Amino acid sequence: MPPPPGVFDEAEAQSIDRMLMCPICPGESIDQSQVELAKQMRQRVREMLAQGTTRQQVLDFFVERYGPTVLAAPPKSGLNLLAWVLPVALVAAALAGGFLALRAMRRGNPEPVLDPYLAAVDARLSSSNLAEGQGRPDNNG
Amino acid sequence: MAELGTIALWLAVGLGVYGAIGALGGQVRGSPLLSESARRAAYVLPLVLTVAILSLVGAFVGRDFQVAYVARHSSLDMPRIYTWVAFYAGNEGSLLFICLVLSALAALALALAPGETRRTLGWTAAILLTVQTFFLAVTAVMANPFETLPLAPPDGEGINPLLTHVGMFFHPPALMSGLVAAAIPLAFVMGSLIGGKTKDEWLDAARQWGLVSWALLAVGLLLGSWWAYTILGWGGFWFWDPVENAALMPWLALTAFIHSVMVQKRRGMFRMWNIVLINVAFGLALYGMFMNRGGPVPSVHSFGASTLGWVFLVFLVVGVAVPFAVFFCRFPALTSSRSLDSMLSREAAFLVNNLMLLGIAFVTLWGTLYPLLSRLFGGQEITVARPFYDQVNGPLLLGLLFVMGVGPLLPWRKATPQALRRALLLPGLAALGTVALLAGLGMHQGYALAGFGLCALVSAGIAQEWWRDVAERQRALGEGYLRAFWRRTRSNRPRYGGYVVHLAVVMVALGVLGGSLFDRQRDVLLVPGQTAEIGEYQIRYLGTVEQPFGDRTEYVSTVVVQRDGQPLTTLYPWRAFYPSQSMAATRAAIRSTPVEDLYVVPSENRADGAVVFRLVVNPMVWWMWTAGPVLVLGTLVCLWPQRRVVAVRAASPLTAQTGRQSTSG
Repeated sequence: MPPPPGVFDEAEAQSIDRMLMCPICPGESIDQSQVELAKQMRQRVREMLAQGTTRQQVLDFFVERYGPTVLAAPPKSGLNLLAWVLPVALVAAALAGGFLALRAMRRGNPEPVLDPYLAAVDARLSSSNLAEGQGRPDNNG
Repeated sequence: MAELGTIALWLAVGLGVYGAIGALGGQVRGSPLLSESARRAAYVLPLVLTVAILSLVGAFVGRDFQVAYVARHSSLDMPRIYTWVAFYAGNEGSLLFICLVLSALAALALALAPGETRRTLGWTAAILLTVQTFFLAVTAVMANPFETLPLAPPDGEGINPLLTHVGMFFHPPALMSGLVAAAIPLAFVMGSLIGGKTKDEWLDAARQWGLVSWALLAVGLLLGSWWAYTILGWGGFWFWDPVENAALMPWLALTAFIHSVMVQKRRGMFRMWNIVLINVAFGLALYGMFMNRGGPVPSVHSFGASTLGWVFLVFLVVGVAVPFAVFFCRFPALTSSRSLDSMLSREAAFLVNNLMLLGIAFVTLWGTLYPLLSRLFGGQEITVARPFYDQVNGPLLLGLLFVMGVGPLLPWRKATPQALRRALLLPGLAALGTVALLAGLGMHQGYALAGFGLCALVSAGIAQEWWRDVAERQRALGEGYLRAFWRRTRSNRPRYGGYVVHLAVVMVALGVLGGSLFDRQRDVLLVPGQTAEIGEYQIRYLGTVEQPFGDRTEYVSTVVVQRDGQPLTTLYPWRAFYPSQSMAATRAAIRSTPVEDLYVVPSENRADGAVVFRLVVNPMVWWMWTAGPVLVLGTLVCLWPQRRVVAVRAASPLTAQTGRQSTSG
């Protein structure tokens, strides 16, 4: 692999490598794949960077050649924004739902109905003159 | 050999059908004799299947190419040792292996079933035997490994070169066993529900077998990562491949289950939620098998197209629909007995942990399915690969680490402000101190700072809790520290085993953070005698030796490694070419230390002796592989049988005073 003319940032090149899929190997990026085509594509990325091409232009160049499947992740625009937003929104909704469910479980039970014995133990513990740290409420969970 | 295997396989199908029907009939008609007979069928199945497996292994070891499956997955030239495990290199043998593992685990589960589940054990047995019958029938009818060729070819086609690796002995069996073992907790839960037992009857059995399945999957996933790291030759260990994801998702759901089930055990809450969780875990395990045995998505695990995909898809739908139907039928009877006391309690933390785990599983599922959805509805081909998962799951994984740090520090029921301060102060300071220290040393990546800070939080929390528990016992009983540690740990194995597993997770997190955020990588072309540098290392390439074998030619390179001019080690990475498969395989040479791995792999051998090497420095990846044994140790601590504590209703002093009956058991 002769070094391409001009200077470029190898870290940037590697990060672009990881955003491009090898079109002929299942599920591997061109950074991973060792087939000839992936090598040529890596070489091309470096040549383009050396000529001062930007990251987006490099990606666009490969999309034009190999179609949108060459991108390792869907673009964050248009309908494909859904791919990014939907899972995040759902996880946020689930956490919010969990919070509301917990609150509802607590509301249904505003004053914890304790066993009278346990209540007495609680009272003793909170007013205890045991040395700080001896009366840990939990040590068997 | 093949005839014996065929007979054993069909005998197993017969036993499966008989056992499933017998267990059902015995339960419905209340015939203990029939139930017992069906259970014995379940006990005989693993023996019969062992015969089948042995005859298949015998065919491989004896190079019996008359057997079509042997001819397709082995050859005379392949390394002899791998003929012992080549039988799960393809669909047919993998299915047979799945049948054997499920039958053995099911027999064990039925024999060891705790007393509470005995009354509904017939249903459990019927479910397990139905699942077994499905796999057995598919194997016998659609993917029979014992089919013979009219004429034995002189040599076989050979095994996929990627599979001739030590990992072949451990990774596939662990993962397949883990996936299929998820059927056992489900069978206990469903058996109890169908039999009308809607309290906690299934709890202990489901928890134990859930842990078994969970640990097998964890070990399988780690071994798979290690295998990919040493053989795929790009310097990484995980790239969110669809089949990696398919094994990760049930593991995530099971992680949620084994945590949440403790809330049910200790506090009698989350019963319905736990049933949902185990249903989801089983569904995802079936999905994992579907992806592995004929899935529709390209992956490094593609074992050739097969028609099995549709059968598995149908089974997947049934396996999700039926448990949920049972759940909804029993819904009214399932309410939990207690409600939440406070948002600041371990119960609440467990629920958040559950939601985060399921969130990660959902993101992963969504990423796997999105290309299919996009093609179906948008008419557009799209790839979803590593950058997507890194960006979406990364923050969720950090959040999970946070919950893992804080959750175990919160007491059950309700945390008072004093208790909270006492529990969180030191771990919080440890986390902040770590972040400040690393930032002071010049680390500026937010992800890394957060990740290492959270690792410190988790570790310090565990150390603090363990120390306080031991010190308390030491003070109270005047025992020596070692003895107190031993006794204390034995007294509550789920808790301390869990701590050990959490430490293993921290170790994995360190490896992931180091290997994915701080890796340095170079591709260099070297002629013999030339030196390349990466980090503080100087890599001097001496030359390559060509070694012809029957099925491959190995090109073993010699590189001398120096650090800052001091000789360090000599590495022998190699690359092999398999003419019959027109495939190359590489084996990275790795100098692994707790600080960092130096990873050298030849990615191209030129005729003139020049070699293109990929050089990678991966910090802290060592911790990830070391986590495996720690994780197994922790799981064993959790699972080790503990003398059962029997609840005895005792009159409390207050009962006498107030004259009211105590309500706590």
